[in-house]
Amino acid sequence: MINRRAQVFSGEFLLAYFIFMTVLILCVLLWYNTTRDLTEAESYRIMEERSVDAAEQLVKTSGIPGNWNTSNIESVGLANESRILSSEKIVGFVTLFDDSQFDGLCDDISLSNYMCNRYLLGLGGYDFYYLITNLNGSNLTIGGVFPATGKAPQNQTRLLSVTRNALLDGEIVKTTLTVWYTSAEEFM
Amino acid sequence: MINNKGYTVILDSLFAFTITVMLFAGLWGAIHYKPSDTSSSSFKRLHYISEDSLEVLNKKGVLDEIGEAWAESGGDNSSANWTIAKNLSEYYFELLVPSHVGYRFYLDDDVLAQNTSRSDESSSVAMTHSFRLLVGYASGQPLRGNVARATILDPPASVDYGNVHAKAVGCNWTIEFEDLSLASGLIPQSYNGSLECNYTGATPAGEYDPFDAYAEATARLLRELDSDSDGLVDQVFNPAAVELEVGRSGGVRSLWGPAKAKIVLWM
Repeated sequence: MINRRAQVFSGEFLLAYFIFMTVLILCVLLWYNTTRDLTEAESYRIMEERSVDAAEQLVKTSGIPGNWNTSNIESVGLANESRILSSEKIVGFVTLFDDSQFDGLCDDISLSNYMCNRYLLGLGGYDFYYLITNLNGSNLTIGGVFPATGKAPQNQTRLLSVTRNALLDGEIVKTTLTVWYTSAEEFM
Repeated sequence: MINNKGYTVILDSLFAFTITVMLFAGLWGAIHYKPSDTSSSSFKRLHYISEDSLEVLNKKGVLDEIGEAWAESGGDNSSANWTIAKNLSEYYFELLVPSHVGYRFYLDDDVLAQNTSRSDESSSVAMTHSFRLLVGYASGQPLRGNVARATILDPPASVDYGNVHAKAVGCNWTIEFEDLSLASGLIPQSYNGSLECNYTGATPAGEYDPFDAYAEATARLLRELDSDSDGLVDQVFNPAAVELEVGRSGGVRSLWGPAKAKIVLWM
């Protein structure tokens, strides 16, 4: 009687154990995947939101003060009025965020202009690259300056670009803000 | 006893099996479910694109060019003006709207440009629209108005160009003078319609249309000749002697519209 009962118990137990473990493993897998997806989605959302806001700030505001220069700037903006860009501000902006220039704009003189000033755009720890082209995508120069600045993407983990249209000297131009990062660091 | 136990096991097994299959199916689906990348930021980006597009075209004057050509076309999509409006719209929106975004551009109810091959509209995950009002444009309506001035030599009087009006038609005027006599005549003489206007009271009456450049200029001249404003013209004259001159005036777009320029975007 005992033997027979033990045999029945063993078969049912093994089957139940197998099912239980399979379900448990699937649950853990689901938990891991969902957490990872949510974290990625949230991280991307924050990155996208900051990029969109920064691009908006550049093409629609004049900055603080309204006639800012590299020495008195508090907030950066490239417009004279909404979606009408100023050549002078663009040239100043290129200098202000040039990663290859070291003008000693902050206490640590070993830092590039870009590293000193990138906080002005409110992107947190994300890197960025800003480019202004003609509407058809061809390059242009403004007062002899190629309107591109920031840090070009390299070995990026994730990258997104926000394109906005504006007017410069009566012509429609395309501005592209590329925001990127290289590691899985959180920038929330 | 064994039979009873056997039935119980089968029912339990069926029940457990059903639950297990459902659990597996649910978990499998959940594991392979990917949350959409579309967020509120995506919508915001799309909306900024639509606002940018119309705003820069408006500030550059392109919307006015499109509006003029569209108005002149009168809705005839085989006309040269329609082609101009369509080509301008297509040229700019193809460049302004990113390549993964579908668009459709309307002026009132007319579709002037669209690209539905970039993104399937029916399965789009984000859609928005922006519009601007173009004052002074209406399909088939002229973009210029009429101004008129009137002169008479005997008695000598004249009035200069007045308000801008959509039309310059004329009228068959009946004028009453201080001696209570009446005179009738077509003003201008080339008028061949049936409208009857009167200046036999304090104000022009009958079928007088104050929005007709000829009639309005005539009424101003008659008031000029009615020094005491009693509705009786001071000196008798032949209405045919009144000379009218009409000019075409631009920049009078407020006569029409507004037309609604609308861009719809989706991705």
